[in-house]
Amino acid sequence: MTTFQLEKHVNYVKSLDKKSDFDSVVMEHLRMSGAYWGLTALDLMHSLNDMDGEEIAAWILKCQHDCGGFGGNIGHDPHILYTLSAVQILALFDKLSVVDADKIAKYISGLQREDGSFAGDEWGEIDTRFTYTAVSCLSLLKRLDSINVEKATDFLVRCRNFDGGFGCTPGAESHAGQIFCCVGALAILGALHHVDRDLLGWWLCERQVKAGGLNGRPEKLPDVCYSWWVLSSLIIIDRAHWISKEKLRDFILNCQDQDRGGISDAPDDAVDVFHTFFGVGGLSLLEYPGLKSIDPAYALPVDVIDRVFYGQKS
Amino acid sequence: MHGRKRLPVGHTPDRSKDQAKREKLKQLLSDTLRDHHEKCYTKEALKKNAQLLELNPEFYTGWNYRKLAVRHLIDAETDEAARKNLLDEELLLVERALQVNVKSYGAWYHRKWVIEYGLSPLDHEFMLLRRLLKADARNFHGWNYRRFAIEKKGVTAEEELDYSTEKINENFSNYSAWHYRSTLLSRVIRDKKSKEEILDEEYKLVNQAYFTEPDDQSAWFYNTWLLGETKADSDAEPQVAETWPENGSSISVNNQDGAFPLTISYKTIVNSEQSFTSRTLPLVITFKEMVSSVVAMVRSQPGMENLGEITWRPLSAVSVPSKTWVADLPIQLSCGGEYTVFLEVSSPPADQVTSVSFKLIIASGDSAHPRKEMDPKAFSWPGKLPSEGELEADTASKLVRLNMDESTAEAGCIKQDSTVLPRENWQEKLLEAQIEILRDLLELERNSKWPLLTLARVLAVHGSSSFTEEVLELYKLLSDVDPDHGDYYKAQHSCLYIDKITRSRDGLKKLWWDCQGSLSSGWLRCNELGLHEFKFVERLLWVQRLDLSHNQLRTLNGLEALQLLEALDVSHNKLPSVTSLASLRLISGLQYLSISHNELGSHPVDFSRYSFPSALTNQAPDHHGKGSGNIDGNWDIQAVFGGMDLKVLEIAGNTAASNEKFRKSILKALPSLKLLDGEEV
Ligand SMILES: [Zn+2]
Repeated sequence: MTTFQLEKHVNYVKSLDKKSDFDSVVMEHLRMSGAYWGLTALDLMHSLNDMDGEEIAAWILKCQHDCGGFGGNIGHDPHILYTLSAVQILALFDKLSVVDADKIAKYISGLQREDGSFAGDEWGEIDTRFTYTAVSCLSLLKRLDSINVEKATDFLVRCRNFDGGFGCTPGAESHAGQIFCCVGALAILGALHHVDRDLLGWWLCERQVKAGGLNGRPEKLPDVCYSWWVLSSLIIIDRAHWISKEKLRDFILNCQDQDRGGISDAPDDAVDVFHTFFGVGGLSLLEYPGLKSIDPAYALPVDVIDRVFYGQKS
Repeated sequence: MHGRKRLPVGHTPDRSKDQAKREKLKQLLSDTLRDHHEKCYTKEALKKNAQLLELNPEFYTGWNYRKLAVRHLIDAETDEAARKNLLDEELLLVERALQVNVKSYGAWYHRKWVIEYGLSPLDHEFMLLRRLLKADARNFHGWNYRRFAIEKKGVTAEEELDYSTEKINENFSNYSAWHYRSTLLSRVIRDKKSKEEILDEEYKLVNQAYFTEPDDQSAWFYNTWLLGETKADSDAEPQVAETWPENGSSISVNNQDGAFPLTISYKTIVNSEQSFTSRTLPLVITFKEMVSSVVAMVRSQPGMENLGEITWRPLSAVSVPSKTWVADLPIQLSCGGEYTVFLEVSSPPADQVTSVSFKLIIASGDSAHPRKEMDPKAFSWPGKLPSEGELEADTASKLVRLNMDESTAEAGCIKQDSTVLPRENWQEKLLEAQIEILRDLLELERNSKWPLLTLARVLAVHGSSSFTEEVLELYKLLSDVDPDHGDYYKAQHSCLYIDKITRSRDGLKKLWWDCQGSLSSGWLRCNELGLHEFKFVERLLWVQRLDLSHNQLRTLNGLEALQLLEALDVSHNKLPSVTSLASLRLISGLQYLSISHNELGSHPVDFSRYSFPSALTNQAPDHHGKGSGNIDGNWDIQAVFGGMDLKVLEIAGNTAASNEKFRKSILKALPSLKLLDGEEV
């Protein structure tokens, strides 16, 4: 059986920052999220201590705008997605106190619309991804009271579909990534009673294809990133035992680059930090030995979340 | 990144080519960022920005800059044709960008932003969409954009239904089109008449689809939805599932020396006498669905005092809807005598009222069923079999299966099966036609998963008890046919099975074990039944001792409805964590609990972490707040056990049981505990 190449993945993630190829320019605008994926993967692999938290926090602050929101990189416009990534990284390093929580809360609450939905930035694109982002970020900052929680919940419920899943806006097709966002947001809002666990659980467990991997919608190909979106949702609603965990584990392990480290979307494809994070996160949810446990709703290590919500561990 | 092949080891990409591409992209990016920061909106700047977005449509700041620039130019332009030209440029750029990356959120949103000006003809958009959804019929950006365009143009749901029919007929496995259809139909179905006709047509379409492509999921998911729509209107149903005390039952309240607590005695559906002590008479209502508010008028004949002051509270203890609601009926001992208590329950805004009445006999003086102070050791059966010596001892109790003769049962009459809703003729006909079609398909496709599963579901919705055994068999077969989802089928099997065995008085009698030689009550034993889930607890509101040992349970959610429960044995199950026991904290009278031989401490992942209110879900009750609950790094123990009144707890046989820190935290959270794993605390 293929084993998990922890050391190689750690080295792969660490090497990314120094790369200067075409892809690194293509990814420049989302460096904040890239950093969150890479650093969280490192933490799950017990290697966060190798990174310089001070330096990273200083860079994060340079990405913040006067409005309170963060850009994906220095000089890039503020957006709610990168605002969450920034807060998540600071939580990883136990440095949430370096930012002004009220200022960030003001930025995020300013993006809520009359119908409860959230825009991604001042330009007004609406998507339940942004609701998750808003809710998760504000909860980590203990500022959920700055938005209309009831309306936010109502909007998520309006995005629920005939199959028990959720889409990006009312009427949009169910998609595993979107389901994670909606179920995760409802969990954080204490409103999981809006989820039909059996109906949704069945749809989610049917994402597992014969080969063991998970797809994001019916009749689609399996992809490592859905190991995260599907499995985290299944765990939040306590239905993860409805799939074959062994087969999924083997699928993820088979997507590793055994020689150079990193994990790809499908076997023998090119690796990237996004799929490396979701592969490691998926294995963590599968209780793979030697990995830290990850929180299925906040997508941060459990010890980080417990520290944020229950104070310092002894 | 998706679908890009990995390079062989040792192979490096052509550096010089990569370098040139990289430098160009880098230059364009820094130009756009500079122009953005300097608010430079010249034609030349816009051209370079367009080049950038064509190379990488994901540069969101590039689109933002573009919107600012276009808005600036349009605001300065007074001629409408010139304004339209500017916007046409944008639409063309988006089309080029989508050719590079059809999934670019930024590109799609830019297009919507342009269309919102209302200067571009929508027909062109529909043409574009036709082409796109022809090439990639599942592109959800395309479908979302279509919804946007439909709304702009004011197309009705009826008209769009034709488009979904067209897409489905092109390819039955187009799940996107089936989904689209479900959203349209919900708007088209207006009344019962139209529902009947539409469902009939929809079944024809879906039957045709799965006969053509029996292995494709799309039509089967749609079929399951249709099945739900075929069920009777739940609005016409009573909302209340069960109550305690039951309708028509008789409760006696006694006290021995004229003081509290009271001894409350009642006769159960299995015709045995039960009693417990309490300061008030607890009232329990379970609803079929969760409800957010309850109005329950309580009155009595002859009139008692204080009945107007009863408040109903949701069991969940946090502000979410709840299935179970409880209240306390105050008892004035000085008012001895016989009363009839009437309850009229409804849950606004629904105006359905359920009426319940029961007899209440209040007597001071000696109880007919006096009750001794509970001896913790008396609970050790049936979790573990007592030794010979223990059997002799005074504290041991011996369970005997209730003898099955049909004696004069007056208390509690089993109601009609609450899962089968009254139906009209057309619903019956539709379901029976579906059963026949699925049986035909199974002739062709023996042991094929989807028709088997769908048949099981249709039979279950039909609800005739003559199908029960067949559905149970189908779920058994399914876990062999499709072992990867075995636990799903086993869960369905368990639900049906527990429904079957708790549905009737005779079924319950078979589960009932009286307690001989003991003054306290007997056990309801649902042990060794292979249960993966435990449902229909609302039928067991009268149970005080429940044995669920030797099953496959992973959670105790739902058990909180058993408000009279004082002893629970769930040893030898698969409970994975402390949080899987969370519902028990809502049962205030629980004194004995065995969770030995489960999987506590064996799982790094906490599967029930989000199944109950906590700080993580922003619903922490005050005493579980930040800091205090996690002194030992075991916030879950404090959150679940804190506030419980357990006297006896058995945890042996769990990995966590040998963890000293775990035991200490348990003892700290349960100051009232007397016995832990048989040892005095
Ligand atoms: Zn992917």
